[in-house]
Amino acid sequence: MGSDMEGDDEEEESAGEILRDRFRLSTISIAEAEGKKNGMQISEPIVACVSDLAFKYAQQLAKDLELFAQHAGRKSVNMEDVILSAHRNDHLAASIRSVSNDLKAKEPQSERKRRKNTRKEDKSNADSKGNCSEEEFEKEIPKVNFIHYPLVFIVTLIFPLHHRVSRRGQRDGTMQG
Amino acid sequence: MEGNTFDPDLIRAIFQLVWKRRAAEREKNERTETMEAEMGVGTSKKNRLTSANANALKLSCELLRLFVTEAIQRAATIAEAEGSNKIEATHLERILPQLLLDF
Repeated sequence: MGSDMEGDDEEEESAGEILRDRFRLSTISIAEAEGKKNGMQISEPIVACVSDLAFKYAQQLAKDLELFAQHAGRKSVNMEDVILSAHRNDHLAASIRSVSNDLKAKEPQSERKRRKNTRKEDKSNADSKGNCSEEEFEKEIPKVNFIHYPLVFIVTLIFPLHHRVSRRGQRDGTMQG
Repeated sequence: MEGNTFDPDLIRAIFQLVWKRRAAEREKNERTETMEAEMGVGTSKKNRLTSANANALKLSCELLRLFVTEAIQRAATIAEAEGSNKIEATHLERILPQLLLDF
């Protein structure tokens, strides 16, 4: 059992390093863009330093979010938890709240239904499935329906018309010739 | 600017690594406390793994992006006040305490 645990630890560490590198790449692109916007060059160690700080912050955030969710008696982290974790600065909290409102406005699906679903999931089989796939599916299916039915309708209407017109054109052409 | 943010999947992977680590630690602590009921521990560990929904992850990405942009912007204002056009370590040092207090 002990050797097993050590193997797991090593694997975890390498996974953590890969994640840290990917995180650093994202941070570099964000920082460079921000520097360009301010007309500033950024020396490389500073970008690396900021990236490490952000990574540490992300880990701390994960811990906070887990504790907040547990305190609320949930097993999945909510937007409310993230807003709560930004409470130390009022401006930050306000801007995060406005972003969350934007995200909510994007899919004003019936919230009661979703809440019921998530509650059920929490109780029964939330862990065996992907974390967010179900909700995403719920959001996407109606959109696809709304976009596609009119499209199909238009195509079925226009295609015969177009066909008829083009055939008439051909016929006219042959008559002229 | 919207394209320049973190990948929610990456953030989820980082979060899950932390959560897994914490769950393992908790399990270890519990095992030392109660040596029996190993079966119970095995099943309860599965139940305890935390997950995050999609919007919460997007919001966390935004929070982390704000952290990075704030760091750069504040350092940039200090650098500008000192009349240099490259952000150096001293500029970051100056803004770091307040930045860490704000996040």
